[in-house]
Amino acid sequence: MSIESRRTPYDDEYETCLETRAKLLIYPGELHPDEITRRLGLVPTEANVAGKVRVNRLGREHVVKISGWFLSSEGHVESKELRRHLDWLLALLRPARAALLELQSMRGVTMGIDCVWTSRSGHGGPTLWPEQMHEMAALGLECSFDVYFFGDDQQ
Amino acid sequence: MPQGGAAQFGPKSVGAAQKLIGKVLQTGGNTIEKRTASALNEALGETLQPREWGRALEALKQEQSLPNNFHGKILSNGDYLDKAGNYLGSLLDYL
Repeated sequence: MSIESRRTPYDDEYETCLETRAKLLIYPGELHPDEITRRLGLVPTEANVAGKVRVNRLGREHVVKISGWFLSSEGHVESKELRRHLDWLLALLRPARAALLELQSMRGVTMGIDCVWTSRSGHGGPTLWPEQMHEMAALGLECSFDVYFFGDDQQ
Repeated sequence: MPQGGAAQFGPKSVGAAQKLIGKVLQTGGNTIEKRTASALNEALGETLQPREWGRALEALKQEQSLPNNFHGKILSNGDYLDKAGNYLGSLLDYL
């Protein structure tokens, strides 16, 4: 296998991309998100506890329905290359593989990687290499794409 | 707890204004269409770009564990409903 054979090299400017990020989303069921933090040895970028009230910048309140533990590359990786974001995330998750697999075996726990990718002008193009796919498979994580299309005039 | 249109008109209110404001702007899709964003801005007194409404939708879906193939409806009062018309949340809560 040669990297020279790959059709789409890494490109931090990724012209068709307006913004991108990669997130690990864990819904821990009955477990408290702090327990996920403890088991993985990782600090989430955001965590929700079911039943807690959240207040947004408008002062609007709502009650969180389900607990969540989220780790996002946003603010940690400055690139429009999705693979950079995944590489950052996967490097953090690699040492926590055993804990992730154990969590996946627990009733009520769901998780996966969520890739947000916003098109600059209607074109597509996010690419994964076998390295990312191999790592996600080893971690037992699905990969889902949340794709947005906004034209230049709407930015 | 404020819930979209209910917060504006009071719980269980079914006045004519609410019916007008609560019309379906968009069904399905992850993208907030430009006309959807314009209608939301007009109805809610905001001046947000489609991307910002898109971020709100992303945040709602994340918090509620809605998969990326989820097919919801956006109402002009910011409410987000499932296919059966069940209220899931208000985009306003995620701005």
